[in-house]
Amino acid sequence: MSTRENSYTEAEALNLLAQLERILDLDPLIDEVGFIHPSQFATLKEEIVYKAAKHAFISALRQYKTPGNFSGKSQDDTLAIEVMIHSKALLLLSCDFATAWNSRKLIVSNKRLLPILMDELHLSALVLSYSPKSEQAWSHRRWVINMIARNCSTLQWIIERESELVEKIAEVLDELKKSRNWSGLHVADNSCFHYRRRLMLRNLEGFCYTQDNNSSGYFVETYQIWKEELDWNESLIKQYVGREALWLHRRFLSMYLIKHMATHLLAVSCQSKPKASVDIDIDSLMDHELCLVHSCSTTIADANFEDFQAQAIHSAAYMLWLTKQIPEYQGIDIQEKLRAGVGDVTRMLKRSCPDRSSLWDYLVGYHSEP
Amino acid sequence: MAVAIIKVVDIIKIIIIYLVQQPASPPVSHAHSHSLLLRSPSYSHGLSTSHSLSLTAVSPTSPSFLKNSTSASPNRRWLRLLLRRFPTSVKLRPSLKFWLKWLKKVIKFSFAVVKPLPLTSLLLHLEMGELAADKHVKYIISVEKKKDSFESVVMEHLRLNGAYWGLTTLDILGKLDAVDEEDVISWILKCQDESGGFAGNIGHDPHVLYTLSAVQVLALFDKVDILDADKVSNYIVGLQNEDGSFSGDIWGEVDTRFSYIAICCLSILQRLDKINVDKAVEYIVSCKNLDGGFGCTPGGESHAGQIFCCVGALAIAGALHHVDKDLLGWWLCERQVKSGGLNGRPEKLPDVCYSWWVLSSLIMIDRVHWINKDKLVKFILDCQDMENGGISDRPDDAVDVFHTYFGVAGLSLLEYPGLKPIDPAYALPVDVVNRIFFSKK
Repeated sequence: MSTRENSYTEAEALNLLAQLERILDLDPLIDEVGFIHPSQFATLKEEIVYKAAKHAFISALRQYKTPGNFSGKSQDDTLAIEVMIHSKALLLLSCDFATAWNSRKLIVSNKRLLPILMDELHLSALVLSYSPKSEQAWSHRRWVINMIARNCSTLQWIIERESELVEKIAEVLDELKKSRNWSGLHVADNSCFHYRRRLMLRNLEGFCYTQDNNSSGYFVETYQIWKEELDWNESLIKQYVGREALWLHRRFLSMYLIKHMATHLLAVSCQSKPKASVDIDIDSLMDHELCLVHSCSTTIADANFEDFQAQAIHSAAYMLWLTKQIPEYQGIDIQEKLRAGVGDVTRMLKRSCPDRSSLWDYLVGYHSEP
Repeated sequence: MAVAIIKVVDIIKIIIIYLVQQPASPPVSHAHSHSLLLRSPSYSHGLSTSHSLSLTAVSPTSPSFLKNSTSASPNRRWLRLLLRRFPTSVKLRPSLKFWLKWLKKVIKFSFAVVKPLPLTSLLLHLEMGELAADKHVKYIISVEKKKDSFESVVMEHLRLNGAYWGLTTLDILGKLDAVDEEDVISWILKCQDESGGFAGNIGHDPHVLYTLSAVQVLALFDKVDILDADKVSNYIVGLQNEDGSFSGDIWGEVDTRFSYIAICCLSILQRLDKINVDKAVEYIVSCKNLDGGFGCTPGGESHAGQIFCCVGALAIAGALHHVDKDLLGWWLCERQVKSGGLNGRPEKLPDVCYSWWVLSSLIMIDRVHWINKDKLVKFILDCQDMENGGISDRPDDAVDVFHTYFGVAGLSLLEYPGLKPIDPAYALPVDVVNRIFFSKK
């Protein structure tokens, strides 16, 4: 490229940059950005605009950071505005340019006003609209929310006036109900089931705190929630065949139900009479689980469909999981029932999932130890 | 008669190919175990007795595949010569007796020297492609030189990470001398900020991510001592929080990745005693989930990348006993999907980078025999771009340096021939790590 061409494109670059920044400035409500598939020429332009944006940003930032002779308030403000404009343009071109996000954090932390913080949320949302995996954008958002939480203390004080525990519990149950529909439509999303597990654990924590007052009533309610979740999980398992996330969720649910509910039941029934109206029978629970596993395993005959095969493998692995998690004091009958099924299950697993045969062997060996 | 001869010769060919592609080595990752065991007693928690037996038999430098040869080229030559002498044509005149005698000798030899593999694995070896090492070297060097394309310009803020990925790959392939060492080192030093931390590129803000890469690259060139170790370690020490966690930079984001970085980096600089290690371990353990895995913060979903960071940090800190190895091993081995590749968490697609994170975690907790290693090797090799070099996240996608590094590093962990062994915790070649801890101070 000749020098004449160079200077032409430089001027053009600055012009393009100014155009981009004007657009952003004119319409602050832009909440989505999309890029047309770039042709060769367009890519060339992008690169030049990027370089111009970066250059503008760095010089503005350097000026802002160096303490000048005339550092009056107005001067600071204009420099800050420059940095904000240029960093915005730069971030739309290169959303993971951390130094640009940091410069915005620097300027915002000197002001700490709610509208400015909201602006930051807006910008990060804009970036995330076309680059949803941008780690820096998410990190910036977290930082901004922390700032809002820390600096808008009146909000917190208002919340804290209510009874803390009740508020927390009510929110958790509410959230469980609200997110159930979404979860039902996204059965392969492991994160959403992880979120539900966290909510349920939070709910359990709440139960532990209220152990003393009206424990049996609250206990029944908590148990109902867990039982409901198990039943809902079962309906999803039958509907969406072979989904790993559903089976992993079930591992967690049954393990917690058996381990923790059983101990609490023992504690409660010793304390108060009449006994809780719900009859928590671990035996029948296990019977039910074994039935479910059995019904899913028999579909292995339909080896043409990968989903059914996956269903059988997941249910078999689930059963091995149960055998490992059941504490010894649960009774001899259960142990025998489990042991009876384990042989078939292991054989089936080794046949259909030979890659993990070392794991299956190990687990069975562990189980058969007295 | 003629048909019988053809069949016999085909069997012989299969056995010869099998001998040629599978070097005689114990079925255990001895090279890795050796370095691990020497460095920190914590690793021995995970090592079973079979490992320690193999350690006495083999030293890390003796296995034949460590000899500096490109994957199988000398062996391929030998095979071609051999086959030329014994072509599969009906024109063969020697009697069946002669062939059977020779066959018997070959079988005896192979069973005596090599552990017999099941037929499926044998066939897998026949189907498997090769590692296009030279192509990958060329690809990495071209990426290093290409600084002006839009793709590289947009990635310039993490160039130091890219340097680590590219240069470590070159070292594993035995071609670190293909780059100008002085050029690289002088550029890295320019990335250092006055706080002591390193930025992703000249003029950018410092962060622990790039600080670790800088120290790792200097370690590759055995130039860690040109750093002011106290200055760099003070930067990291200043980022430890009260609960033992680490922030990534002055802006305060907390993540277990940063705990790993801090512990790994300080360990290489031999300043690990400057932080509160017990508190750091306590924080990591608080991020352990019910499925045995680890998240980015307490209660965070288990993810293979985070698990690598937590397990690696605990390993270096000598605290692996906090890990439930059976439970975590189970979760990790369930990451292997039908194609042989590994994913990062349930229901996700396989990706070559998890060949590193899941695999190194399994090795550190000594449960790597719970996955099918051959299938994983095949998956990684299928992700190569055989024409232009480089490795992509899954077969037929676009390549990049990041996945090239993880693919090659994964193959090294799987003891693919012709590659330097890599340490699963430090993510640096074993000889580099040994040099740090066992050479003159």
